Amino acid sequence: MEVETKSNYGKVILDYGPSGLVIASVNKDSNSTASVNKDSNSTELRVLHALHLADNPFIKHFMISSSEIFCKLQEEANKLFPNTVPQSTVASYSRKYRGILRELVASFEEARDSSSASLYYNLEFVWHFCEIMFISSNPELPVLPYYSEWIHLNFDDSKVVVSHLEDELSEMDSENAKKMWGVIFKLVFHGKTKEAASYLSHMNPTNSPVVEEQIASMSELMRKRPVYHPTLHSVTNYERAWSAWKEEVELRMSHRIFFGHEELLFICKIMLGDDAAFENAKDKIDSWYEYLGMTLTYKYPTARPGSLKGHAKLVIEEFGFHDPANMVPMERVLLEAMDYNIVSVLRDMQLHWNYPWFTLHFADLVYCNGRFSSLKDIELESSSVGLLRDEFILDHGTTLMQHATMWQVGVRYLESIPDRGGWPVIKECIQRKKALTDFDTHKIISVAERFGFSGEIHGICRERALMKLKQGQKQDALLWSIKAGDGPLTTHILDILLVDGTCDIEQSLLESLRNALPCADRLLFLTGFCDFRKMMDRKDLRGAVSQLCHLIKENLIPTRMADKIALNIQHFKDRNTTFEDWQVSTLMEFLHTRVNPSEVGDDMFQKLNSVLLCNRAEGIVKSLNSAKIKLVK
Amino acid sequence: MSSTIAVTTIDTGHEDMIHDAQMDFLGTKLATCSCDKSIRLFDVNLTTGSQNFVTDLKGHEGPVWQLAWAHPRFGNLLASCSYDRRVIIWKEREGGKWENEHTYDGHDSSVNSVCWAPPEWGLMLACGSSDSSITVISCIENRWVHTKIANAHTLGCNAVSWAPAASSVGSGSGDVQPVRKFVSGGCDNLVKIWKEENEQWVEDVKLEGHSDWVRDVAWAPSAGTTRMKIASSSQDRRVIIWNNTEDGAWVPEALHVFEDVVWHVSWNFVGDVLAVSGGDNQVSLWKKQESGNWECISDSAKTQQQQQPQDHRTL
Repeated sequence: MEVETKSNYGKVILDYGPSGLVIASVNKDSNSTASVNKDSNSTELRVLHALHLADNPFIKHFMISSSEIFCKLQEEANKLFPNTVPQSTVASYSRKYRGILRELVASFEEARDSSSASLYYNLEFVWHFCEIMFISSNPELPVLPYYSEWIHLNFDDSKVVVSHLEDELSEMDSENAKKMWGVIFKLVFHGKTKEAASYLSHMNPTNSPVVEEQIASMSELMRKRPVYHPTLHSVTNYERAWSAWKEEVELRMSHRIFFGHEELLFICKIMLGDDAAFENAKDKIDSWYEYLGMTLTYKYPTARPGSLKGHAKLVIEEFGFHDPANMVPMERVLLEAMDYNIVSVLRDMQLHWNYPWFTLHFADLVYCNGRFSSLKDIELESSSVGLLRDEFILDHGTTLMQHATMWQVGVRYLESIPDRGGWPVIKECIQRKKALTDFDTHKIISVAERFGFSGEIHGICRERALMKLKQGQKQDALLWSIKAGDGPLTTHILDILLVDGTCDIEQSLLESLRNALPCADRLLFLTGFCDFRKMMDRKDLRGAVSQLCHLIKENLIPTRMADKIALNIQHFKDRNTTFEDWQVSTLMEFLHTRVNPSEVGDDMFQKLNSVLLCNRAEGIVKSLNSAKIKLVK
Repeated sequence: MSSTIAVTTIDTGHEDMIHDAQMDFLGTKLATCSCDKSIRLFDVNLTTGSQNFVTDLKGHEGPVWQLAWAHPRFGNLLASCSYDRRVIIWKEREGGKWENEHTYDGHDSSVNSVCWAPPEWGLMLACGSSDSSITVISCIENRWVHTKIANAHTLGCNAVSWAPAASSVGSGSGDVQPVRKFVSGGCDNLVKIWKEENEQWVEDVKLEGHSDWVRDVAWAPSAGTTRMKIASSSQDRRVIIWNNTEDGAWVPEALHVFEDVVWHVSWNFVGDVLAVSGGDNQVSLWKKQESGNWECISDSAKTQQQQQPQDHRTL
């Protein structure tokens, strides 16, 4: 029964090619409304090709930089194994990743690619927060220092605003004053009260002594606000200092020191954690996480990382910044991080960005640190992290392997998968690398040698030999076929080389052939013939004749070469040199049985014959003469 | 970080409908075959978008159904199969000329599918025919040897695909499997695995799961995966992933039920993404996620336009 449906319309041909592309042919189908391209011709092909991320020079540089950080971390982890990499070291690597992310953002901004700049900005934003939760902070110590830094780095525009107002600071109009107060408020919200205090001195345009005093009092309060640092303070001492400071703020408030100054009163109430002031602050804040930062700073300064989620939910729900159901994916990731749900964070980041750069490198950091496996009360699926890490490395490494120049970076990632898990991909990928030059091929082979992929090395060398042969570069083809250890191919190439009979092969090639494993009879002939030519060049006729006779005796001279080889006999004519009887006999036999007179020409044939006869005759004469001398004696 | 998709249109010059298009191993050559009985070859560079017509190969006497490039270590070799019951192996000679290296005409009906074995096993291919049989053609010491499997699929064989030579299971370096295997799909609704035993090919496993003709089978490369798997597509609009378990059983997993017959399935070279195309003119890419579910990561609608990185500035 025939397969009749082959001629049906509506069939898309598919081939998931070596570069990750899909070839689709859309056949004309006027009835189909679901046609990919209704106007297509049935004899047209559309080849879909994913342009590689690394084709963008900024991304390429970024990927190379991140691979260097990754490899250094692996080296460190391997040195310390079975111990894990210390928290401070992992944190420093995390900051390096953030550093190159910020560089990438700056590059895109400079190139006016705001879309890409935004993408990687957000990536760094989320990374930083995850770094706080999973790497930098201690679950048993206040999280505020890290959180404040994160907020301030991402939402501080004070320098930009102030730089625009620099020339007018001493004499600000009401509009600029409003902007300046906006800067001061923002700094207060972010807990940067010292910086805020430095701008307060500009906020007395009328030089009122009352205002001057109020500003001086507020500046003092702002500067005295205790700021927790994990290495400098114990929590207990900090809480004591904080309470004392709070009391002082309350005292000044109750003494109505800031009475009549709206802005300073507002700041004072914020610092006291006044709910009404917080409500008013919402208009001046862009996001719930900024608001959360303010809440922590002035209400819960010693909150631990584990309590962030509870505070965040309160902020989100009670103050209605966002309907949780309408949260953008990144906000969900932040909340998952607050839950220490590393697996959900990684999965959502992978889903959201559809590329494993973030997930791979972050999972690797957590994996190398390994500290959560030893902490109580934190359910961290640390075993899952390792598996996810390997999956993401495989994904990223495979993608890099498909790039023309980045594939060696891909190798570095793939070889970091435990139990040689990445080796099959490396093996598969290097076979598909298009080597444009011998240098490229040697690069591929050196990688294959490192992993012991002998089969692939032979295959690559063989392909190179075939390619060289196709290009007419026979000697190069011969070198590659020998490297491939391919006897039949080598024989074939040698036959081609010898077809014109000149054996015009570079001396250096012949020398290297001598050292190669002789994998073909033709090769033995060539190396032997190389020696013969050298001896002829040195006028070492005896040696040359001996070598030639050896080639004849061993039956190494290809049939089609016999005529051309025989022509060398004419150069053996030398009165001072006679050859051994057996040598002359061998050459004579060769001349008369292997050489075609019509090929060399009758005259030449006679000439060659006579050279041998003369040499034989002189040999006889010499031996007779020496016998005569003996008799005489 | 979505990547940008570029689309290159190639006017093949065929005079009738195209039935297959295959890129070679290195992605530099494209071969197309058609109802017009010819095969056309192109040199392509997808990075620059350049394409040069090389030659057309004429020798078949009927529509040419499928093409398969051999591994480049064997030189430039292309196999084709046709309605004219023949399999032809074409070889590029010195000087760039393509010639008929070998013709196999041992089938009694249309030959529907042809597939080269992994290069580790030498120069070998399998072809499936509407006459119910499958033939394995091997080149041994410059001689072409044919081994036929009669009655492989009653009513006809539609597709063949070889198992990878190296298994990554339990070994990162990829030891070559001692037993050669391939999978076939046929008009008996079955997917069958065949293995070589004493220089003969015998049925190893019969996989029942489809309710209509099996149109295509694809054995996943093992490079990026831990266990072997096979994808099969059918007239019953289903794609099934057959997963090989530790105890050697093949467990079916339904990928999806599509709107129309599913004609083709094709794995990426690592074996973790499956491309599916169907009678609904749609092409979709599927990947198994960490959750364990197969999810569509891309389809025709997305690939019709250039993709831009998404703007996540607003939080």
